[in-house]
Amino acid sequence: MKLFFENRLPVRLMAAMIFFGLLIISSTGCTKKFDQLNTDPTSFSTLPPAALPKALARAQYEGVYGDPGGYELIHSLFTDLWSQFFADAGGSASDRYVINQDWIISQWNLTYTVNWPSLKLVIDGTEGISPAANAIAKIWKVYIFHQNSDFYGPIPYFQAGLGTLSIPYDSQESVYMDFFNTLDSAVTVLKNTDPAQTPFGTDDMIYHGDITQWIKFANSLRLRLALRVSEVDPATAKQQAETAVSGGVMLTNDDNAFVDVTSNPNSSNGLCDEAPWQNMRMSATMESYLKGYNDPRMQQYFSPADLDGQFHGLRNGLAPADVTSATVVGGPFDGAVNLSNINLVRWNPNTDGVTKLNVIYSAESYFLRAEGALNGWNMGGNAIDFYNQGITLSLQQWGITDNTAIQNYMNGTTTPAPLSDYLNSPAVANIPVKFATDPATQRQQILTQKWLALFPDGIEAWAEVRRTGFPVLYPVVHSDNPDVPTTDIIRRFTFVEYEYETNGKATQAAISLLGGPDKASTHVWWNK
Amino acid sequence: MRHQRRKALLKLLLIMKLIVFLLVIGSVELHATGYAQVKLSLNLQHVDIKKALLTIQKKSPYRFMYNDDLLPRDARVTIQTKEAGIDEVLNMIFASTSLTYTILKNNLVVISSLEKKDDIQVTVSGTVQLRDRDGQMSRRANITVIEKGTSRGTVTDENGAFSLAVTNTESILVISYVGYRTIEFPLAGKTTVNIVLDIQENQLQDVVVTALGITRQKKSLTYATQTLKGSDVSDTREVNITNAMDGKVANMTISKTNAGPGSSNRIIFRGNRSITGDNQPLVIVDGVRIDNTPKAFTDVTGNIQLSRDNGDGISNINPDDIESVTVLTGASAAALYGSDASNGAIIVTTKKGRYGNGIGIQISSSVNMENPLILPKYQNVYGQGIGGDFALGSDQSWGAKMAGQPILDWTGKTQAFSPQPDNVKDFFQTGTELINSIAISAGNEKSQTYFSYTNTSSRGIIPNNTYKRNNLNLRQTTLVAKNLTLDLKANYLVEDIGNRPFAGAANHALVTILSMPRSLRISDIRNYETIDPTDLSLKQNYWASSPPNFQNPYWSAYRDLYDRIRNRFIGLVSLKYQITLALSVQARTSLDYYTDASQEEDYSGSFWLTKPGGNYVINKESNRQFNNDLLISYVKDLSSNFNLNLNAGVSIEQFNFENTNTNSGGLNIANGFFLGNALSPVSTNSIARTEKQSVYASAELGFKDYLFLDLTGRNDWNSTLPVQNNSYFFPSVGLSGVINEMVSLPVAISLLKVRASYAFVGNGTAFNQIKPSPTLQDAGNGGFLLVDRILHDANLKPEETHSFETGLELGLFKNRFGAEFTFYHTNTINQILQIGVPNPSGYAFRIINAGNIRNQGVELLLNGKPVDGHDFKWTISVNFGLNRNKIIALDSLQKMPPLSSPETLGLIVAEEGKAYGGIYTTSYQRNSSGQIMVDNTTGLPLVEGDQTKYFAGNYNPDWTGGITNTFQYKRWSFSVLIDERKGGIIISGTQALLASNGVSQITEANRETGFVVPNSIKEDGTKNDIVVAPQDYWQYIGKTNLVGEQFVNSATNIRLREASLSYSFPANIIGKTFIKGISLTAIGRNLFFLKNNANGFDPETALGTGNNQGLEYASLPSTRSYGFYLKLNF
Repeated sequence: MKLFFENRLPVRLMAAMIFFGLLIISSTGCTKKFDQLNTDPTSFSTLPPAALPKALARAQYEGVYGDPGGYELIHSLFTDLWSQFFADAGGSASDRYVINQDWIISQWNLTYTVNWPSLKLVIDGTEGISPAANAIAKIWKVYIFHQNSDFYGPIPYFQAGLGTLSIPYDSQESVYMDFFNTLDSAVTVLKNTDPAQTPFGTDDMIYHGDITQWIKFANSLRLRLALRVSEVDPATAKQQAETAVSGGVMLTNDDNAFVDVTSNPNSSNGLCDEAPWQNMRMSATMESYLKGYNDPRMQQYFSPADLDGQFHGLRNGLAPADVTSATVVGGPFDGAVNLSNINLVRWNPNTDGVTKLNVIYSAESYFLRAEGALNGWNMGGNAIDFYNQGITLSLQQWGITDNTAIQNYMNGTTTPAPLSDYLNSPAVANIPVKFATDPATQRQQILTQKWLALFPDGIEAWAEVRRTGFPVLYPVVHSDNPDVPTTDIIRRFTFVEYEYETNGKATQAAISLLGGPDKASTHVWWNK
Repeated sequence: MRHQRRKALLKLLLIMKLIVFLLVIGSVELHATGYAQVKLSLNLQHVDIKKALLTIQKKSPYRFMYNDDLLPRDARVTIQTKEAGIDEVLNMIFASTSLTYTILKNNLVVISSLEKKDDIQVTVSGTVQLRDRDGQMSRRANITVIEKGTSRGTVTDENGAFSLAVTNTESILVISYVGYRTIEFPLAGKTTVNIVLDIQENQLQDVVVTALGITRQKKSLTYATQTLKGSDVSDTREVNITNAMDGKVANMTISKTNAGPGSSNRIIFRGNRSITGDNQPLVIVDGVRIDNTPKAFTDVTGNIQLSRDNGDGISNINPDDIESVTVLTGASAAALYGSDASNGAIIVTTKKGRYGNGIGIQISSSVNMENPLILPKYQNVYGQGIGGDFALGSDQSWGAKMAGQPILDWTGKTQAFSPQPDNVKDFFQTGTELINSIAISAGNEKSQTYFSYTNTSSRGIIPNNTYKRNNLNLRQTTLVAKNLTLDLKANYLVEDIGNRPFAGAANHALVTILSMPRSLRISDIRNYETIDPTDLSLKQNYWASSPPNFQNPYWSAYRDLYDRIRNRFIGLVSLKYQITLALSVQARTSLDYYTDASQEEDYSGSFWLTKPGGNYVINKESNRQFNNDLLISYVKDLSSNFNLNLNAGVSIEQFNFENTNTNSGGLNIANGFFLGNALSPVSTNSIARTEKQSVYASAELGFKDYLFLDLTGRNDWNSTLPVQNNSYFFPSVGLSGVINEMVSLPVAISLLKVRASYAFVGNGTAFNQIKPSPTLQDAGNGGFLLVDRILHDANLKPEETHSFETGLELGLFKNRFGAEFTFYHTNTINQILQIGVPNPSGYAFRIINAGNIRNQGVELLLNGKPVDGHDFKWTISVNFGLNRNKIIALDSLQKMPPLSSPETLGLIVAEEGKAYGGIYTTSYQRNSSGQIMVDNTTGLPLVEGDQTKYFAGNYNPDWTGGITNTFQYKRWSFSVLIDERKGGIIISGTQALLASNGVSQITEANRETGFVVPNSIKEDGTKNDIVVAPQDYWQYIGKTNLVGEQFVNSATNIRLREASLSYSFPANIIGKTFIKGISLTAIGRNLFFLKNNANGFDPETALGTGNNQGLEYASLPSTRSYGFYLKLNF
């Protein structure tokens, strides 16, 4: 121990070194800064109120699956095939009614982990502060959840987004009733709001906060939902439809709802980005109707085939080997050069900042009112007028403004065309455009024209085909889904596998709410 | 505030606890005083003298030093004593001999022939210093100094000083100390001498650099280690040192991205411990951690098809600067490094300057060439087209038979339709690698300098892939004042990677080159672009008609450019003060700072671009690892039997990461790659920063140099954990005993050591895991708010790894044969995992503490010298490692929480009760007797699309092993390393792609006749007689209804990993030039497979360095390399 003290230099040096070391360590070493250090400065640690409109914007954009990936995984690979707007030239099994779990999870994921949490943030954050903003967010909530419920039937709804790890499913009926209530109170709030207010401003990517437009939108959505339940709950349907119409639905093409993605190239139109891809080609069903009716929208919806400059569709539900047979006309399989793509002039990667994403067209409301009138409801007019107005609006919307052309189309007596495809498909149906006299044909005509007008919204088109059976579609050539024969159409998405894995008990319990086995052939509540 | 003060107090208390711990150990000194009064009771009957001496050695602290030849062979002694003194006993033994002895203070008994006392004429005095590997000097007591040929000897005092009476000034002194090279020092007339003993370099195995840079004798270690010499990693001329380690370390599993020179490797010791986190070991260079953040990290939650390998940290270390690499495979060994050490550590010691023999200069130069080791097997009968016919614009090979018929093809020319069997191979170029380096070492007693410069210049096997690296290294070790040593290191490197290839993505070269039609000529493909005369735009030449899925591989190589430059500085300042002989203090600061700047230029015409004009992306990131520590060491021989080595320290580790990325979002003027030309630029930035503060202590207590007890303790404060849980303490304990020095064993056994250790290591998590972080994306009319989709736990606890290991070390025939066996068992519990949750919760993932993952296994090292002649030597070393992993418990809610949304190829899961790394995939539907069910009408298999139904296997190997044989004949040396990896699977997406495109050999059979799916039955149970066309079949199972099961490969392989032949030129050839040595080596790496169960690719391929292993899609071929290495010493 003596050594320690016999020379003062080492003691001083040692002391200096320890002091220096401790100085470095103590100057930087203070764990009280850890909390701040572990906070990401590139994100919001507390959310400013100004962030809420940005949350609505995202929920609107993703709510129509605007992102290319999202668009493909719900629209292109499922509903746009099952509505038979398109057929798949890439041989995807989903065109044969196979529900690929890797794909459908994307829709589920977007709905529950992006759209609803974003909207919930807005709804909670505007409650009692901005009733109009709150009402608009709730209208959009109905929009995203009605699609989601139509896919599956029962869905987690009332308890969704609360952070709990077992989330019960709610019956479709209870969910629909909440839609009606929500829309009713939202419209009431908006009607009592000064129309000069523009909640969310331009962050509302649909109407820029135009309250009058949102009232029309809410009523049109309410009318859509009313007809959806018209077979299972006619009384509610009638009452909701009449309330919606008297409250004011969308009337002109100026009322059309689009998500405007034109201002920022980074939120693009997903359909534009994937239009040049392999798979989506005009369906044979579209071809038969459009050609048979000499429908001027054919050139608006689709591009002529590369091979011969003509329009050619493809039957849905082809096995890969059939696809090869159907598409080999001296050209390569992958190009499908003998088939019509979506209209690449309107939808291509360079127009993704020009072409807006469609939400609801006004034409639909006229067809809904026409069907309501047939049901004997007070829709403020008669079926034939609504039918013709719907056709007129739709044609005008796609640039066919010549009145004679519109009149000629409306009075057309030609019927869908037989096809010269490799299956020699006969005409898909036998009704003309000209409004018939018997209510049964009229109903089919209304729904057929609505289907044509809904393009490219395969989600809504598929829902209505399921509900009404119209328009008549070609049966799929092949079904790889053992539960759905080719003679039927696919009725719903089965509950996602991931839910069985992670929310098993609730998903099992949902089967009894569904009222049938968890199969793609089981009809949802409004489709009874 | 009060809370924080309490924490500070707790920290202080802990430091005090550690000090008390040190004092307690120190007090052992009081009890362990000498053996001055040793009394011996012996009963020896007619034994030889050697046996008598060995018996005494065992029963007393005395050791004997003698020349075997001196002992009379026939002499027998009989000794019976009771409580006799040592002198008395020895006098009895040597009574009838002509031998005498001297007992030194360190209980060494020197035996020699009788000589006359009056021979003594002079007294020599001097000092002995010990020089360790780092060039640092120290002085010790008990270093033996003997006059050669006599029994006259002494030992040094605590200052290293001695004084000895010798015969005359021409005598030779023999100076020896355990672990140091014994030297014979001729007095040559001097009576005052200063002598330096060097650590025994050639017995590197015996001295090991352990945690915190503490050098220890291997025999004292309580855990397994393995050490590679610098030449083991540098002589193979691998740019990334971990490549050179492959096959040489037990239980080290390496997977490679093969992405050209300097690409990343995934290194795993003793299995995977973490499900979603990094499983790679720590990298420690010269005692401090350097950043080894994976830059090719594809986690199981990531996307396997998008991984650009940006190189890892360890690949930047210049192999030529490495002195040694020690591998601490287990947590026990690394416990002192604290958090993150649970995966083990790679400890790199770099060279320092030396003195003696003037200035040492080494110049080396090497050239290597490389080629793909293995490529898929192709068919060469059917060419471009579909349905058996040629089809212009097809990217498939289902076309007509290639018989040389003239065909108007995609080039617009009519050419013979003939097989191009080498069109894939010819795309790859010979990779080259030139490494030139110079190293200068110089110094004197007070100051040593090492400087090196290495230039590496390579090109990869993919056209336009280049790699350049310049490493500068300066090391200065200075004795700045008495007992005060300053160690400085400055390391700077610039690494420039040009167009590193990208595996697995459609927009890069590999996919197309591997799958292109068999009739395409590589010479045609080389014309990859044209200028469109109408608008003067650049157009890609590609054989498939629009819209293509893929593109011309040369376009990918020359028109989708990517350049990444790394500037890295690693600096170290270490000041060590030797306060007393026993006590020293060291303060150290180190900085590892590097920036990566990359730019991507994608020309307009690349099919996958969604914005016009091409695309330009610049990315800048910086990584800073800043460490400060203070270490106090106390090394003391408490008595002749007990010695103590105490270390205590505090440290701070800080890590900062910043990234800024700008994407041009298209370009206004096509192919003008600068930001001013950006169409819709988006910039994002990200930041990560963590800090860890620690106090730690270790004690190693040795008894009689054969029994060792190790204790360590460390407390970390980790910024990544919630405030209330961010402090955690973890201890380790170990014991080892050298049995052969404790009891008498047969002479053949020269070493028998047993050891056992237990450690507990805590760990934090990544940055910003405990609270929600909503952020904004540039989109819409002024941004989208991105909600946080992760459900955070504000109460996360540290992860814990409990590790136990035990081992046995054996040396036979004077250690000519050696074996080392280790068994280990680790449990990682409270793992911090990100797992999937039901989405209706509002979240996609949840961060939890959960699970218990067990890894246990064995490691075996064998080495031997079957032939050890003067001219010819043959040495063998074998390593073997086996790991068994089991997930004992996982989340309480789910047995198999999904870790990712399913990939097309397979789903990697963590499943309770199974080993981590299991892969599920799509499969055939089979009936109960295992027959494949086919569709009643098409005859094609029914596919089970739900990936959770079919378990394909596990990606981890069952065991790994390697054998190195080295033969030396005079100046020639030949060495061969063969290694084997047994077990594990890998699913090949390439095989699926190639089958679907009709290019692989497997698609050739039955082209024209079709076939019935083998071992199949119709869905309705009737016999399957439906003939399917191969095209329909392979497109169906390879693409449209991908059957992963079909493309599962066994990863078992045996390969010739390394072979080298070297020759060192003899002095008479070099002559009396200034050159001191020349050696020339021919080296080959990864030469060929002796066995490869995977079909057409290297199963050790990885798409990235994350946990997403066992899946492969259009990965880069691994390479065979061969070259020459010339080393000159001046």
